[in-house]
Parts: sequence; C-alpha cells; structure tokens
Amino acid sequence: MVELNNLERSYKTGHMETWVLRRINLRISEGEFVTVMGPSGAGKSSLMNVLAMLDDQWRGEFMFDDAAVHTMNRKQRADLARRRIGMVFQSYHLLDDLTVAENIDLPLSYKDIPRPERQAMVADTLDRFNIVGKKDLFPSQLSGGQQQLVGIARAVIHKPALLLADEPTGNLQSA
Amino acid sequence: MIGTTMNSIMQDLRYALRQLRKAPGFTITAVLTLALGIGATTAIYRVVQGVLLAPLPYPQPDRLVGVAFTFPQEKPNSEQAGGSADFLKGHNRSFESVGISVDGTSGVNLATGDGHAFQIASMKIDRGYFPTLGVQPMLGRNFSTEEDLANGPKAVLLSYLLWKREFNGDKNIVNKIVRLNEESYTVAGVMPASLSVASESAPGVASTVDIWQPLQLSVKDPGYAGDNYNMVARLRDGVNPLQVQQELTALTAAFYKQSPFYQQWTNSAKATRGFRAWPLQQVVVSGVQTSLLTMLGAVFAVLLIACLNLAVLMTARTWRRAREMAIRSALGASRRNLLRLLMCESLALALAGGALGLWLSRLAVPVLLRTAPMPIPPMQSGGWLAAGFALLIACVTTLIFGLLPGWSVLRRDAGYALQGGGQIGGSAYQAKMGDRLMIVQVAVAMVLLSASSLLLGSFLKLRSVSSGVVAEHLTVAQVTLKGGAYANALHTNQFIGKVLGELKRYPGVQRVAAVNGLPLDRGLNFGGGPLGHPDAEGHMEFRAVTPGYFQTMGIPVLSGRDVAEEDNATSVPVVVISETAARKWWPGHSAIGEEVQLGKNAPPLRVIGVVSDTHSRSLAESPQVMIYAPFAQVSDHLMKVINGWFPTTFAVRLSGNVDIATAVQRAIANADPDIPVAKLTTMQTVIDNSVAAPRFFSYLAGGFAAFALLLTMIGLFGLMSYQVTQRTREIGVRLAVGADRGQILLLILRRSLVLALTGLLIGAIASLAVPKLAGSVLADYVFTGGKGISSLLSSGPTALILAAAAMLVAAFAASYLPAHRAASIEPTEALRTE
Repeated sequence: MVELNNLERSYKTGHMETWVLRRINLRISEGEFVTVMGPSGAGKSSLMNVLAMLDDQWRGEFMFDDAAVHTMNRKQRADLARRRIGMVFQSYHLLDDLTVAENIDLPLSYKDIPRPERQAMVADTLDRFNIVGKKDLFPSQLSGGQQQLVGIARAVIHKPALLLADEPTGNLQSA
Repeated sequence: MIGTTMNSIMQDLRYALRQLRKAPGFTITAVLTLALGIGATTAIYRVVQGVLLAPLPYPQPDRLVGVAFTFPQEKPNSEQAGGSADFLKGHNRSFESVGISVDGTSGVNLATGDGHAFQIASMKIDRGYFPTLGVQPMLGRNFSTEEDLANGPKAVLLSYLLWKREFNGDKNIVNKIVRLNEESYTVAGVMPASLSVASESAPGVASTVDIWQPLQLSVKDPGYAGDNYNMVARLRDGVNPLQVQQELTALTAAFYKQSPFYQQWTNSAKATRGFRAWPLQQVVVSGVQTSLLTMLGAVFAVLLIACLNLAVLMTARTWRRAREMAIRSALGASRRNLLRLLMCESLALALAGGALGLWLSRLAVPVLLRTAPMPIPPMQSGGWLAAGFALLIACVTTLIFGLLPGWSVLRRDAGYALQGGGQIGGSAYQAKMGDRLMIVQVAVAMVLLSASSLLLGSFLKLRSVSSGVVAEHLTVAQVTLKGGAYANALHTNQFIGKVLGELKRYPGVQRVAAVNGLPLDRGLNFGGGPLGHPDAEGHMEFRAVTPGYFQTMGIPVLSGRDVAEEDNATSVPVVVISETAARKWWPGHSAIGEEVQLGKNAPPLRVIGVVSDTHSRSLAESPQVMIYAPFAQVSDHLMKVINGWFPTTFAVRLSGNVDIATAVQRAIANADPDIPVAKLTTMQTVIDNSVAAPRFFSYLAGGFAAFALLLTMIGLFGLMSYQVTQRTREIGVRLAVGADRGQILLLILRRSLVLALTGLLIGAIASLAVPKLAGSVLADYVFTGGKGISSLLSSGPTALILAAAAMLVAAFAASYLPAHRAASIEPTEALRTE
C-alpha cells in the first residue's frame, strides 16, 4: 500500500545541509502494523510527516496504493491525505475551544459530508470509544489518557486506509 | 532603602527602554498613536478652554449680561432692534450701565498720508459700550455725548494693533485727524492691546475690529427698525439674574404697548419676541459652543480609539511576555516588582507620546483658528493648563489602557506559563479581551465614519446646488462707497460709470457690470409686493444693477428684457424680477408690464423682464423673491442706504485666463483714488467661501474618521497577527486533519469580519444620533432661510452604508496579511513542538 524508494529529506541551516532521512526504502502492506524505532533525532517524526503528506520538501519516490505521490502537487497530496490518512499526535493536539464531539468532527468538517451524516458518524465513534458521556466536555476537563483517546477517535473517524501515530503514548504517565 | 528602590526603578526604566528599542515597530506605533490622539484632543481642548471656559477679560465679568429682544427658544444672544434698545436704555432699573453696538463689523476706507487708501474693519458703538465692559482707552478718552448724537462730531477710537501698524504707535495721535471714507474724523483715543474683539463681517467670516465709530443711534437710521444691534449691560450691585429677567418680562409688555408695530414680528410658531438676558460669557460663545463641544466629543472619540488601540497592542505584547514574567516570578519577583516594570514601560510611552502630542497641539491650534469658518472669540492664554491636560491624559490613558490588560498576566500561575500553557489556540480570556477591545474600537470608529460620511455628503450636496450664475472666467471686485460723497445717486453712478468705462476697454474683458449685493453676499431687503395686492406683500430682496448685469453674470433672462442704458432717472421706473417673484405674484400669466411697489407710498415700478433665480445669501436657502432696479433710477435716499450698508461689486466677464487685478485697481483708483479695492476675487471663490463651514467640518470629521480608521486597521492587524501567532499549533492541527489553505484563510478572515461586523452593528446604532448632531453644528453656519437644516443633510442611511462599506474594506485589508500568513503555516513546523 505504501512504498518509499530512495526517499531523502534534509534541512538547510545556513550553508550546511543536515540530512534527516537518506535513501529510505520502505514497503508497508495493507493490514500491516509497523513500528518505527530509533533514538531522538533519528528522523522518526520527519518520516511520519512525509507519510502523512504534511511535508512536501523530500526527494525520491512515494507510492500510495497506485498513486504516485511524488508526482502530485501540494493540493493533490493534501486531498489524498484528507481522504486516506489519519494521524494521532504525541501531544494530542486537541483544540481547546472545541468540545470532544466537535474535535472528533473536525476532520469531517473539511470534507463534503452532509451535517446529519457527520453527526451520525461522530455518534458512532463516541459510542465505539465509549466516551459518549464526555462528548460535551472541553479538552481541559479530560485526563491525558482521555485526551489521547479523543485524539485517536478523531484520527479514525473517517476510516483512513493508513493510520499514523507519532509516539502516541509519549505524553501519558506510566501506571 | 529609598536608594535601593530608586536603583531598582532606574534599572527597570533602563530595561523598559531597552525593550522598547528592541521592538521599534511597537514603540513607534504606540508613541504615534498616543501623540496623534493626545495632540488632537489637547488642540481642541486648548480652544475650548480658551473660549468656553476662560472668563471674559473684563472686570467683574459675572456682572455682565447680553440683553436681547428675541424669540423664545433662541440660543443666548444680544440682538436688539433700534427701538427696543432705546426703550430698554431709558426704562430699565436693573442695569448700572448699558452699551449698544451695531451687529457685526463693516468695511471703511482709511486713507493714509501718501494718498493710498485701504479697507479696515469698523464697529459702531455707543458711548456706554466700553464703560459697561469696564474698559478704558489707554490713550485719550471715550466718545463724548455730542459725538454719540446723530450728526454729531466725527470721532474714532483706534485699536492698539492699527495704532501700532499704521500710526507707528504715535503717542500724540489723540485729537489728530484721520481720513475715513473721504471724511475727516478726530482720534478720540486708542484702546488697550488686551482688547481684541472678533466679530462677523459677513456670514461665517471672522474679522478683528480695527476702529470703533460712535453709533449715533437715531430713529432716522435705515436699520433702526430692524434687529441690527447688540446690547450689553452691567448689573447693578445686589441685582440677581432672576430679578433682571422679571423686570425684562414686565418691560416687554410695556414696550409692545408703546410700539405695537413689533407685534407683527413673529416666528414660524407665531411667537412674538421678548426681552431676555443671558450672562455675556454665554452670549459670546453661543455661536461656537455647539461646534466646539461636538469637535471635543469627536476628538475624545479619536482618543478613545487610540487608547483602545494601545490596549490591543499592549495586550498582545504583555501576553507575548508572559513567559518572561513567569521566569521573573519564579526567580523571586513579586507582583509589585512586575507591575513596576510594566509601569516603567507604560510611563516611557506616555511621556514620549504626551510630549509629542503637546507639540502637535501647539502646531494645530493656530491652523485650527485660521481655517475655522466661525468667529472664534479671542482666546485667553492657557499654555500650562493645556500642558497639564496633555500630561494627565497621557498618563491616565497609558496606565489604564496599558496596564489593565497586563494585570491578568501577573495573576497567572508562573508554573503554568513556564510549561508553555500546553494549549492550542489562545486562551479564552485573552481572546475575549482582545476581541472586546477591538469591537469597541470598531464601534467608535464607525460613529466617526458615519459622521464624516454624512458631513461630506452634505457638503457635496450643497456644492452641487447651482448658484444661478456662470462662475467660469468671472472676476468680482468690491468697493465700499460710504461717507457723504456717496450719499447720493449722481456721484455713485458717475463713479460706477467711470470704472465700467475703463474696464470695458481692457483687452480680454468681454462684459462688465455692477451690482449692490452680489449673489451669495448680503444685500438690502424690503417689504413690498405687486401694486394693488397688499395681501401679497412680503419680504423681498433688492439689488441695484447696471445694464448688462445679467449677461455678465450668466443669469438667463427668461422673458422681457435686460436693464438698458435708456432706463435712467428721467424714464419710467422699471425693475427686473426673479422667476420666484413672477411665479408668486402672477402665477399662470406673464409678469411683463405689471407693477411692483417697495413700501406703501413708493412709486410703482414697471416689470420689464423676468430672470432666473439666484441664491441671495446661501446655496442652502430657497431662491427668494428678488427685484433688480437700474442704478440710474435709484433715489438719493435709497442710494445712501445701500451704500451705507453694503459694498458695491464690479463683475468682470473675461474671455479666458486674463490677469485683471492691476486693471481693476487702476480703474477704481482713476475713478476715485480714495476708494480702495476691498476684495478682488473670482466668483468661484465667492461660491466656495459660501460653503466654507460645511467644507471645514466635513474635512475635519474626515480627518478624524481617517485617523480612526487607520488606528482600527492597525489594531485589527495587530490583533489578528497576534492571534495567528497564538494559534499556530491549532492551525497546524487543522491542516494536519484535512483543512486546506483556503479554509484557514477564511477562518482568520471570518474571525476578523465577525469582530468588525459586531462593532459595526453597535456603531451603526450609536450613529443614529449623528444626523441630529451634524445638523445642529451646520445650523449655526449655514443660512437656510427657514428651510430647516435637515434639507441640507445628505441621506443618513446612505452615510451609514458608505461608512459600513469603508469599515468592512478596512477590516478585510487589515486582516488579509495575517490570514495569508496563517494559510502559509507549514503543519510540520507548527507541530514540531512535540
């Protein structure tokens, strides 16, 4: 489903070019669960940003199903990501001014989905994650674990083909 | 202890100055905002303080009153008819002394020793005028009883400035002879420098009095019956204003018994006049009070916007420094220490803005006094008061509007701030604080914008009114033909004939004519009407003209003919009438051949032509019933009256852009070297000057509104930029979960426009009071001839729509850049904080 060939990413700092990803070749099949591990600064988040199509400053080949991402322009990539990819963040990144239900609805609000259909999908998701009782609370009223649960619910509500999670438990305290 | 505190303050001050230097954009914007706001407010305050609040420069000014023969509901005034003034002078018991003057100044010709003559402003006063005010001549004496009697010896009192300027401060000037209007006058004295009187010589034109002449009030004066005089009085000791008014009310009834004629003077509500007294201070300022207070209100609105803007900037800045404050707090700084640090920064801004504002106000006051179309009474000095006022506003505004937003930062938990808040999309508090400030700012700016839009619309509406003449290539020259030499028709007509004859021969001159009472200038008015129809008699304007006047001015002759050379003293007396007169007196049939009469026993005048209407005093006034008679048929008596009150104007129609000034001056000097050209200008300038007041107020309001709009744009830009910075991570998340850049652009623009629309709605509701206020300001300066000022104002809803459109465009322009910046945020950068 995902195929990276000779993918490279660097950052320019003054006259220096710092490479964070070099000659990355990666294949991920449908249904596969992949974990990327490495020390701090190894380029895990950079790779995640490329896969999430949030970054477009890389070189190489990137195939998503049969679509050649490397040939797409920014808008096409954003459109593909909006439809097919979900992302869970380390710091949850919930919007403080939105309720739990509104946060979960956020990805749908950027798609052409009628409001009643969106409301039904949000209700299903709240039910599936067992957080119906929290739907009208704001993020500041939730614990870290509950916030991350909302973050995951938000990432999967539109049934993405690829779910990316960048250190999803990094901000949670161990029991 | 004190030394340590001082050291800490100095350290804070140094740190504050360093911080301000490091943020030049913020510092310059804040200082300029304060300076312009404080400068404008202090400038208007200086005028208000000098004019409205300062006591009159006379001994015991609280004992001085203006006494009027006026209608109920009128503003404080001191207008009197000759008869009513004479009656009051003879019958009152409340006044220690009474002074009467003519209403306004008039031009007189002063001849100097070198054969040169020029026009100066004269005011006629009776001998009680200066003693009533409590002012004595610095040289010489007041007018004697004989000099104040009709046909008494001719004497003048010189103003200090004229004495210095034209007589080199000659200490032996008393009893010397000066030539005024070709007649000899004895100098009775010189008035002190402290006495400077501003009066109106023409509607809306202020002038300073150069000389005073004895009033010599007499029932034989042509203006005796009309309300052409003013009265001041000094109250007797122990008499209070209530007692004065009681006596005046009783005297009103007695006066009507003696002079029942005045009962015919009624206003539109059919009310008759009565005697009223107001404190002289109120009378002096009543003409400018509404406009000055309105201007003060407008500048306070501008200052409020400046303050709100400053608050928005300071809010953003203080929140940006929340982490720094938290670190200071964690390292042991108390709230008092932090507050002192913020105060040092605010104080530095206040002092810089206040000083610059004070300097700007010093520049602005003379410009304001010079350009204002109203006769602003002389200002008392009040420099220190204004400086104190500027400093007070600077400190109060900066401390309140600068520190209050920052106070919330001091109340925050330091640990929370040090952890970076852990939130996305600014806190509800800071968002609400900024938003509310912005909404109020937009609302106040909206009121100023709608006022400006209304005044500008009214000015353009007035300017679009046709004056009735073709002003292009039309030059006008005015002369004052006063004095014994011009008290008869023959000499006046000979002078006019000589000037016209010489001007006609000048290359580039197409036509030339003379008139007594140019359109949009004052002229004589009479009671009269069509012969044999006393029911149709009423007020009419009278103008004496020479043959070819209508062609020269470009006034179309609608039927009949123009005045011709044959219409002279020996032929049948004729008149040309305006179309309004023809329509009123002979509706449905031709007026040619009909007869009109000026007064009961006057000879009939045959109508020979009907011409288009012109505006006699103001473009806002409805065209009046107007009759034009040939100069050559004006009687000696009438010529004396019109020459005594109004200047004669030569109108010169040119073939192109010809410089006619020298030729006009030479032609007039050749006809009579003692007659100076009082005014030489174009007809277009006369028309422009007639709308000077609406233009001044519309430009002033436009300036305030533009400044308010600029400040609002700066504020909105600052707030949106700040909010975009605060919401960077939120925007990153939105982009990460599928928002496209257009949606982010709209997100920010929508927020800005919602703020603008909310403020706009509140401002629009507040603006409903604007037309009434603008009308009351313009009513003091624009003569509408009883039409009502509302007819002059442009459409209120249109003004509101234009103001709203301007505000929305400004809001869009101010928030587009921050919105574009938000739309350009890279999600990977925004989310990197993980």
